[in-house]
Amino acid sequence: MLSLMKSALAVVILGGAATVAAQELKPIYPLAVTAAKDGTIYLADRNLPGVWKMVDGKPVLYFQASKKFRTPLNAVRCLAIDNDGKLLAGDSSTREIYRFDDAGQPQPLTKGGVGIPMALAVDARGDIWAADIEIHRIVKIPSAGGEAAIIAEVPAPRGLAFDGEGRLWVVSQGKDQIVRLSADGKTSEVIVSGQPFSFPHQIAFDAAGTAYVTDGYSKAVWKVAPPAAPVKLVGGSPLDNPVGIARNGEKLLVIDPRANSLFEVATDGKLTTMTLGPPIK
Amino acid sequence: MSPQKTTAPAPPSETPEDDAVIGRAFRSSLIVLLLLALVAGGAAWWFRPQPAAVAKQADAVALPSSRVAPAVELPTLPFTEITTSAGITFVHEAGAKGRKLLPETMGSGCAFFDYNNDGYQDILLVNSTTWPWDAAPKQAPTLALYQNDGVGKFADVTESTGLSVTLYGMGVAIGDYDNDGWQDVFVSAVGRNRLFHNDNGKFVDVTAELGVAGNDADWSTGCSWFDYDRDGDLDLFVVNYVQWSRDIDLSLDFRLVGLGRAYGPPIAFQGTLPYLYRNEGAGRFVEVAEAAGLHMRNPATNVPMAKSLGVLPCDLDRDGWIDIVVANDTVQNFLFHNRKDGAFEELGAVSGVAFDSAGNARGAMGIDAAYFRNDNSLGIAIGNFSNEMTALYVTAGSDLQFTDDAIATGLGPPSRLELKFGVLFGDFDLDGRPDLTAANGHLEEEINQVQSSQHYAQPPHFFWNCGPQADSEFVSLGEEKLSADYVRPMVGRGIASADIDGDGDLDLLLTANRGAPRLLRNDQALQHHWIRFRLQDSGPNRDAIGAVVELTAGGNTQRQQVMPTRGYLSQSELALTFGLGKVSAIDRVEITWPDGKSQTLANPKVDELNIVLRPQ
Repeated sequence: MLSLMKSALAVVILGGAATVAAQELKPIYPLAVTAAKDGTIYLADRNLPGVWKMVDGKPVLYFQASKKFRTPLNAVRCLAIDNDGKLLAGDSSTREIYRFDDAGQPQPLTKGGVGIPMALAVDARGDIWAADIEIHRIVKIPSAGGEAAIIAEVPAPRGLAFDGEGRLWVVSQGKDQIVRLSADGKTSEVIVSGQPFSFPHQIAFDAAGTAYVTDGYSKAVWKVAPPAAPVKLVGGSPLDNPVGIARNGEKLLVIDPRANSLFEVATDGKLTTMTLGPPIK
Repeated sequence: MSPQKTTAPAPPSETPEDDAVIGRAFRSSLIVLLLLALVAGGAAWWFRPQPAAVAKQADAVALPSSRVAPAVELPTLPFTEITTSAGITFVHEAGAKGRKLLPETMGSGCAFFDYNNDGYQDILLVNSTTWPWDAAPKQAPTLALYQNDGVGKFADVTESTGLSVTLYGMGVAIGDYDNDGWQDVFVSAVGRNRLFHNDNGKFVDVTAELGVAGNDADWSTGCSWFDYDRDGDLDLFVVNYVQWSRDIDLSLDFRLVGLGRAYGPPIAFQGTLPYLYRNEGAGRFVEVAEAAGLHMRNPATNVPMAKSLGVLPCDLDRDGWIDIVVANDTVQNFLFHNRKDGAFEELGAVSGVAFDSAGNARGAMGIDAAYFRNDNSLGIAIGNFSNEMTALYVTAGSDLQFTDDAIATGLGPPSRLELKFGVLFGDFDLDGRPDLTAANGHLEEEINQVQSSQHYAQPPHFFWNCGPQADSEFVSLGEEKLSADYVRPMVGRGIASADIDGDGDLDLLLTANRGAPRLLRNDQALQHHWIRFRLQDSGPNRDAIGAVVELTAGGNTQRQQVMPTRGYLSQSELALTFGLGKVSAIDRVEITWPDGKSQTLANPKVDELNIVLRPQ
């Protein structure tokens, strides 16, 4: 009887500890954001590591990856939503693109066929495009999964987004910081040259089709509306190192891992902060 | 009557058959004689004197009056200093205020690495700082990171990347310890060491989280990432110099006659023990140096022996497991042979790398190794103190038996005078043979007042590799073949190489104690062909540290190991550069990946950087 009581006490104590641990779990280094058509927001957390889902304005753990290297999403760094509303995630630890199934589990799509996926975008057919900074190439993966095919060579590609005409805009750390690929990827044109960005990351379009680029070192979000030169939409505090960007309805979402905050940015530059956890000092 | 009679037989000669018998005997004898004559004749023919041999012997008597060696034409290798014009404004701060505290003169290292994955070699310069007991400067010295634009122009991104960090830094080790595709930075220091995780171009200090700081009282120097246990991920090896504190240093009261207070020799300080942090593969490290057999203690007193500066991880016996050579200052060098069971066996003395030829320990600083004869001869170069030759321990095979060939190769005498720190092999003229460079500089600013042959600032060395058939395998090049920029004296310490401008040849970066570094662009125009390889492994040792590339072209086979830890407290680029001279076709390239898997490369591109992804 005494042992049963001890066991029960232990269960209560352990259960309590687990509850406390779950309560204390917060985003650590969120560096990518995406939003589904229904407004559901997901965050990729590089150092948790894992994926968060925003519920009622708060981060709720959606998938927690292992800290063990070479395990799925151990180094998650980009997200996208496919045409069926499924969540996609790129992981440099396993060199893989994953699609989350209905049970919330990541399923590999390429058998380790990519290097360091920095950004994902889905075209009208549902095929998945990835910016692979390990080989400095843009690759395409069939919607159902399969071998990654090299489409174009772009120096240090970091961000991807399709415009309304199905052309792929690519953020690069090369001499030309935004290039635009034709829908078939066979031709490209320079959209931004002269290196106005300090350390550009990702790109997204607003409802009107204007592009926006996050710039970590400039602590800014740039508005890119060619032929005009890029201009800063917002810059400085509270932005510290904005990396991820995604469209969510009429607004933009910007994720900043050092500030550990999610920002909602209107196209007029008005910025709303949602703190996720303690910032990096 | 029958002819047989009972009369006594007549003598044979007198018998009627005698003639026939004699005839038969004569014929038999004649045959035998003829046969003997034939045999004798054959033997005489067989062993007849050889006229040609006589002629050769006559030739051999006429010995050449001098040895005929291949004609050697020294190359012109102009190096242009571009430090300032390239945008490098860094100045090393050591906090020297006249107290002559030993860390103030040991300098710090540098690294070439691609921190932002744009394919270009960026520069990290380690800084020391002022002492906490002195007044703080208006602007605290920090590490410095410069981003390469691809053509050799650099932008200071120290602040933006989060590396505006002040510490009494010494060495640097670059490695993607967590396999996320971004190279991380470890900095050794006087005091606690630091590990910065590269989060997509921003660095975050994860030292405390990962437990790799060491102790406050440590003075850590050489450091390196490599996979010693072949479990696939990068482990961290850190050596320490001496047990040092300001109070110990001042109490020892070193003096040079005529100069007063001076920097003390390490022989007066106690030795140390190294750290080996085994990567557990899940964001956790375990310190295992003692269990791994790396704690070297004096067998009589049990005190730590090591006074370590240079670290050379290298598969010395080509068994696929990385061994370690440690250069110790005034203490015997160590050779840790990897036993393949998670531990090492120290073989420095029995292998021949511990001492000089007289059995004395030298003031060993920096270290590097290369297959400098394009055969199985591995040479380990160690930069030693002034008036001690640079060591070149050579093994002809894989039996871990080395002899110091510095004198025989011509390297020793011209390297003797200067105080060497970083030594670095590289094929700077792309002729297919690795040359040897060195950063030199004395410890004492006023040394010339008491030793007329010595100066605080000293010219860097460049030893051109003439090939094993030449009169001297290494020939020191001077200003007329290099440039005034190259040979200008400096207080050299660290040294590293990389192709910063994409032209295929190796450029150099040398650090200076209490001064500006020197970035030397290689402007050679010898029209030699070359090929470069950057390996990408599919495992967690993403940069394939420890992989070996063997290249055969024009009848020569060159061999290089992917190992950024080279020189003195420094890191060179991960890419391997092979010079091809006039040869423009490659016969064979074979890669041995860190796990032992072999790959023969098809159609590598000459005069280009080849990025090689490990086959699935």
